[in-house]
Amino acid sequence: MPKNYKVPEYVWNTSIFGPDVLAVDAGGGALGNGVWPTANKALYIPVRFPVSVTLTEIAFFAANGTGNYDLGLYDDTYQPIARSGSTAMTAAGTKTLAISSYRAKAATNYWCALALSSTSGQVLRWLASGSDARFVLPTGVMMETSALPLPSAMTGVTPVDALIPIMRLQVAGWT
Amino acid sequence: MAIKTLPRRRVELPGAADIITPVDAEFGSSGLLRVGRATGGISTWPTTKKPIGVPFYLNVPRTVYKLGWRNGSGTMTDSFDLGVYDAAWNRKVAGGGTARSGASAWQWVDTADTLLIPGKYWLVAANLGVTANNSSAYSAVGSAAAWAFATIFDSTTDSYPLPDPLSALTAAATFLFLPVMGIALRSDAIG
Repeated sequence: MPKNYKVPEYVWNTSIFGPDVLAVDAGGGALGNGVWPTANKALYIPVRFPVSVTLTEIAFFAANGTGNYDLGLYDDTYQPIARSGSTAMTAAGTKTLAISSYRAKAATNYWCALALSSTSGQVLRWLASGSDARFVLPTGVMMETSALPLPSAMTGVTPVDALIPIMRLQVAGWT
Repeated sequence: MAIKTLPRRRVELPGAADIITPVDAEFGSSGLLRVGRATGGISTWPTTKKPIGVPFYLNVPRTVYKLGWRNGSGTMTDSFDLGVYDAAWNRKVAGGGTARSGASAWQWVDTADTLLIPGKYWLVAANLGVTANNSSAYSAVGSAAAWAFATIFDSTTDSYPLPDPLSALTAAATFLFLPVMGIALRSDAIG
């Protein structure tokens, strides 16, 4: 990848940098708003960049204003880079968390993290075909129960849910 | 003496094509839109002359020579304009407004060859009327707010034909679909 490589200012965890859901689910699944599977559960979605990038924001889309959320980003050693802390959803819309110009290393896993306090809370998410969680297993997504607020070190285990919340990262530059 | 020809070196996004649309990697939102691909259909324009824009990014200099969109089915009463703007909303090139022709078919307009240097641009569309059907690549999930999350922008300012400069678009508040549209590019310059 050359220097001065121009890339989209925003990337989503469903892009080539995140889980390739369309590769593991030939049916394509579905994009839509849906409820959170379990109260206080965190879902961790891996992203990985081919070059070093500077990240400045992470975001998700809340489809309603129910309950609380904690939004964060973890590094490859499962340590937090940024966490919003438990925050009231208050209303539908894009929820963002500023990241203090974090330089992510190339070819290294980072984890987009989201936890919701209520199974009535809704987010924009990808849902596997037939709501079959087996499609999520090969994507590397992990989960953690009783994880709101997000923990000081993530302890992810194999997911049991068929959804992946849609997360957006802002990229300020590549080096 | 034989002249040795060096291979031409180009650096592009993997899979970069001569025609790019919002599902291609040049469009940042492609990473989201591609997983919602089943939600498209046909849609009428929400308000006459209102613009919708989607950002895209070029890694190498490329030349625009055509702009195109796909008409929906039914009546072709409305005219359509499509243009490329830079990050400061200055117009680089546009079709100028064209009567629709050909239901359920792609329609391309020739433009002046326009070199775009690497950077961020907006592909912007505006429709004259609210009757003709547009092929919609994707529909927002439930609300324009979800569309804004996808970095789709729109505006309430009349923008037909597309002016120069364009009043800055903001996060989508009206549009619930993204028309099928594309840019024909040549790679004339060496990256």
